[in-house]
Amino acid sequence: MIAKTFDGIKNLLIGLGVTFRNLVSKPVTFSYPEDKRIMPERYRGRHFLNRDENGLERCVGCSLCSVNCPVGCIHVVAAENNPDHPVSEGERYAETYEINLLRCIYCGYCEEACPVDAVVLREHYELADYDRDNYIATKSDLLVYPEPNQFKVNILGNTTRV
Amino acid sequence: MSDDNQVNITINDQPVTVPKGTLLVDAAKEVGVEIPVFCYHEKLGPFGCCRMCLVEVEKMPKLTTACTQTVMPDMVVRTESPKVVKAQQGVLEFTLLNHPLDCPVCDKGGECPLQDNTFKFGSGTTRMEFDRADNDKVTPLSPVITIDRERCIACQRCTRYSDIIEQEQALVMLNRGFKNEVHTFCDEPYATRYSGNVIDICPVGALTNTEFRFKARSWNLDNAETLCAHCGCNCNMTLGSRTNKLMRIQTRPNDLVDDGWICDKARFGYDFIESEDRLLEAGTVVGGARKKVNALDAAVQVADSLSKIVDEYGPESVGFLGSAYGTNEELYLYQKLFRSVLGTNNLDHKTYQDTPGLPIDHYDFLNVETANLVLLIGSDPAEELPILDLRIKKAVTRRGVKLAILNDQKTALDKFAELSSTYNVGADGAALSALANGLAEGGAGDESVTGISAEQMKSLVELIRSGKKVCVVYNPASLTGNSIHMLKHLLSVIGKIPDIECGAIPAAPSTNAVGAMDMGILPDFSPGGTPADKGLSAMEMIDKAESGELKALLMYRSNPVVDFPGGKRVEAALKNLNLLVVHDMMETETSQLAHIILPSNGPGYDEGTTTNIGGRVQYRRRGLNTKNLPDWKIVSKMINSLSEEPVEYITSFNVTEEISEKVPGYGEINKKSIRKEGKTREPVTSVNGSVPQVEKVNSADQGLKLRVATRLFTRDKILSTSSPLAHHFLPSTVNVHADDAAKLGFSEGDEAVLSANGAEVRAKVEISNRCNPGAVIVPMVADDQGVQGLAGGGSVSWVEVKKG
Amino acid sequence: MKILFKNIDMPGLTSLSVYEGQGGYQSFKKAFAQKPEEIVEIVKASGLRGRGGAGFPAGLKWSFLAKDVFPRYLVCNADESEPGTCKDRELLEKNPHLLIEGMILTSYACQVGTAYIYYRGEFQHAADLMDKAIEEAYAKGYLGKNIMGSGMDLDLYTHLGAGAYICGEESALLNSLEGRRGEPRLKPPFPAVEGLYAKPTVVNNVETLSAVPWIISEGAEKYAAIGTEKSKGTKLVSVSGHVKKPGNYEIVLGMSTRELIYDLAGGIRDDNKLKAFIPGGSSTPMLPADKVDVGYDYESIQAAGSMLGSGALIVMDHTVNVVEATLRLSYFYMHESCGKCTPCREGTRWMWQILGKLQAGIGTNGHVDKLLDICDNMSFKCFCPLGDAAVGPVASSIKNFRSDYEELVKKLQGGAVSV
Repeated sequence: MIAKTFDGIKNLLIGLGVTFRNLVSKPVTFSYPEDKRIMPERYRGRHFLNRDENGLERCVGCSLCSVNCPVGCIHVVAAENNPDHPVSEGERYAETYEINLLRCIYCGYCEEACPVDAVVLREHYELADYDRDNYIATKSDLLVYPEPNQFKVNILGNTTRV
Repeated sequence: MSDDNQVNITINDQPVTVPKGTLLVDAAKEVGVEIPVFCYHEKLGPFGCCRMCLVEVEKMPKLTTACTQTVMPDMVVRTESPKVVKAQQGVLEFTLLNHPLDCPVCDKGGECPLQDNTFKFGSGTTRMEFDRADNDKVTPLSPVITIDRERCIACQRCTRYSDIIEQEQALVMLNRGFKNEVHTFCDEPYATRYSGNVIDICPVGALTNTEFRFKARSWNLDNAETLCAHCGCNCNMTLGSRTNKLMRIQTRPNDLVDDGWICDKARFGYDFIESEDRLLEAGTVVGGARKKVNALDAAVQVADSLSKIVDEYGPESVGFLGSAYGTNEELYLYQKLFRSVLGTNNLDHKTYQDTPGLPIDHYDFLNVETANLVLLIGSDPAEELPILDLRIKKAVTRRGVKLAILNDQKTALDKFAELSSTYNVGADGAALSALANGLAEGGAGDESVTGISAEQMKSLVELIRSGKKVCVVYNPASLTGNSIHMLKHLLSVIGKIPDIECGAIPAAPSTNAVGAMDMGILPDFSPGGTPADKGLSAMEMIDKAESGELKALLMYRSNPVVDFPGGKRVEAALKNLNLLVVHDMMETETSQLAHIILPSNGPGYDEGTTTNIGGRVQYRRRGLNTKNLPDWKIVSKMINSLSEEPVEYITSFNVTEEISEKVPGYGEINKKSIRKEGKTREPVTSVNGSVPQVEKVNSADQGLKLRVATRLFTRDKILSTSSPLAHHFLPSTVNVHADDAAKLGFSEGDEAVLSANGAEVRAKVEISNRCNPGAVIVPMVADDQGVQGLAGGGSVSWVEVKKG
Repeated sequence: MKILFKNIDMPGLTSLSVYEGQGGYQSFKKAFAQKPEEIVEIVKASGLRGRGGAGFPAGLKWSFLAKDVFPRYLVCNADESEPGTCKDRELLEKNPHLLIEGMILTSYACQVGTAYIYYRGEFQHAADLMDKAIEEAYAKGYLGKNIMGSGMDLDLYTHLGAGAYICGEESALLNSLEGRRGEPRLKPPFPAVEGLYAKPTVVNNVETLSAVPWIISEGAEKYAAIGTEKSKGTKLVSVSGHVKKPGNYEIVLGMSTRELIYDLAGGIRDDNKLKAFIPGGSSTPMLPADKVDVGYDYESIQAAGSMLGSGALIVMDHTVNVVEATLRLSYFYMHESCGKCTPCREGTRWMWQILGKLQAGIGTNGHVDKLLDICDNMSFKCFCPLGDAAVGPVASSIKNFRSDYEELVKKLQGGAVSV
């Protein structure tokens, strides 16, 4: 009988132990709109277009992103660079670059296909809006990045964010 | 099985039987074995410089190139042995050694043989550790072709094309070894009539289309398999568009028509379809101002107005001036409207005389190659039918065909000719009749009239007699007066020569000249060459309009104010009409005079069949979308609004079906039969007219005879000043014979004023023996040159040439 | 035994009278008495082989001419550009009439009406002398219409190239002669079937044609008796490099190379040690010193792993850095590649780049292996023999003197040279 009582208390304490431990630990939830979550580095959120060290657009308008896109949400129209005022490093640049963010499935194939590391999917996940038209991200939306997006190219030709 | 002309070989353990003389690379295709190539092109023949196609042949000590090796009996070939794979990887490594990694930017990316072969046969890595060659990147070879020398792999396809196909040797390899480059001599622009084809045959992105550069990737294009609508060759081409904008035009090889080439006018001469001068809206002119109306309403209005005039003045008071640039469907429906519904025979599409049908076979392009002799009469293919020009050059230089030329001017083909005779301008009837007599019973005609010596006429007769298979190519548009009947007589005389096989190609320069005649856009023939009561011809209609007897005219894609002889007189005559309807795709001098305007879609937007000069009916597919109604819908609306039994056509093929039912010769033409390569229509019956008398050339007291020469690149509604081909435009020139120049005191480069009929044309004097003395040749270089204004209505026009 | 160089140093031999005084132009009587086919048979029987490099039997080449196709052409290949070779030049400058006589006889044998001598671009002096000699021959009736009453017509022209090594290749020579770009043509058809202006053409070297008069006047048996069993007659050898007496020597084929170097050419300079020799001009593989006893004839040299080529013996003593020598040779081939075929155009440059790296002491063993692999990718895969010729010195120098390469590589690993 006594043994049974002790057993009960023991189990009670084990159960309450979990309760007390969680009482003092940091909560896993956080108050989202006020606190923003820090996403892992490889998170595939909203797209951005990169610029190179000289401030030129990296994108050369090759359309490989759009041909790789499984849902066909990227539209690129290329044009020839004016050598005196180049927009990008190569002979061509993307005159129009549009991504339909509603249709996009954030698979990251465009980033993988890009031969010049121009299009990237970054950790920005707040994509809610009231207007469908705002989901067509144009060049002016994509080339803006909240922090100066600088990259360095390593010896293998891969770029890393600084 | 033991056919002497067949060879059995084994490729990768698969037996294959191919004709003798086949190259290994082609034989391998038969069994689905791919041998990679760069420099080999089936139209250019074996060359063997890129070394990509190395294969192993048993009993041969070293690897051999499949593109130069013809099949031998019992050959055993391996294309996948370790030795071959090593060689392929090695050669690809060499090829890529100094090839830049431009693929994302390169226009060839996605359709590049170098990319494809590297993927399929390459090693996947590079061992190159040095800087790649640093050659010139963007270098214009001509205003329409740009070369990127870094990308060039020196396969010499382009230079061989210029040498073998064009026979120009304009593009050559300069320098030696590693520094060799594709260039022209002395930095001249590479501006031949067929230069654009090098873009298509370049296996890398070295030669690029300046117009298309960086505009779109190949996989983004919507490619429409359509036809060229410029000349009578009707070459097959692919119209690539993106978001309904014309991007580029490429060849679409059809050996029966174009042999895989198109001219520069086809490739670069289509920017008019996006021109600002296009007529896009129907309109009626009220009080001098144009009012926009619905196209169908306008069509009904046209039909009502025409039938009212017919009721009032009789059917002879209305007329139709069509154009050889329309499709068969459109022309057929117009013919139906005017002949059957309005009951008039006043239909025509040309200013010269011509009749449908030939007394001998109607030959097509292939016969030019298989003939023994090509007899060119009054035709200048280089300016009129460029791809026929290439075909004739091929026949002469590579098939051993002889070429005889009978013309009133010297042409670019003369240097390929066995015999070239120049008759006097306006003496074509006399020359043709002299030749016919010479062939029939001997005799050489009167040299003072024809301008051809008895000796030359004799050797021409001999040449024709000795040709076992003769292909006559004649241009009816260059013949004056009734000479066409003389020519038909000559053809029947040639046809009667014993032991001779012969046929003719009526090589009129316009797109659908043969089709327009077949569809009965003629005053004296219904569709299929059936004789009809004679109505008014084009020139007669202008005369009657002038005199006020003709009340209404409908112009379908015709611009008589510029294109018809007479100039101001034509304009005045048209102003005299009660009703002038212009159905055209471009704003023209004639459309300015119109009372009602109907928009025509024109090439690129329209669809339908056309018949080329070889009698081949092909389907011209729509390349771009338009909101406007197709022309045949507008015409059928006119017919239906007047007819008691309306016929509704759903697609243009419904009209084609009606054509195949109603037009003799077109019985087997239908959607299915013309799908791939087109189909030759049955030749229409020829009317055996009596042999006409040679017309006396009207003489003038003073001046020289005028010959207006066609030019391929004319500054007109099609090629505007903003066209990429503008560098081909010439200033107004007049070719004066040296004798006449001496008489008139001209020297090279002088300014001359040509006057006749109250019109004046200024031109630069070029002293050349392009024609016989007593005449001048004025190439038609621009619409605003006004050279047609000098021409009178008669068979030969005289002009006074003075110093300006 | 001297056939070609019999009176070579006689003063005034370039003039017709002196040449005739030495028995020149005497072979015609004998030749014109026979049918052309018989002359071809005589040359066949003599065993005379092409002296330009390939060593193809001359008479056999003549007999391959397309039957009954006229006109035919004879072209003398005087585009002597192989590094190390200078034998034709001596013949041309000192004894032009010998070549004219040989060409007349060959033209008779091959029923040729027009003949050309294609000179290397730098041979202006020789061409001027030849023009004078041709003039004399015309005046004497040895050239022109109905030569010596034989009924044979022959016109002889000289043509100077523009300084391209590739034009020594017969089909490139024909292209150049026609005024086209000097690039080799596709074979078949061979020149004997479709050569100059697409007509049957014989192309022979100066030395080959110059040997014909002697064969005709002295007889095939006498010529065939000279030399070894398969390599008959005499050969001009241009000995150059580190010998005491460099120069052109006429030898009987089969003489040992040691004799050639140490007796005729006086031995190695400063009595140094022989390191390597190139037996037949720069295109032929290099041989190490231990092969020096090889007989100087086509077969023996081939058995030793090289070729007799045009007979230019280049001798290198022990002071030579083989890598540097190879670098120089490979520069020559890069410079002279016509650029027609990919392996040669790109490969020659790549090899030169890698050799440059090795010579500068910044190469690795990997580079040496890479060179061998490039050689393998090029050899027998190029359009014409120039590609193979470019491979010859590189592959053979690595094969025979790899230690030289490795020494340079070691320098890097020892840190002697900074990258």
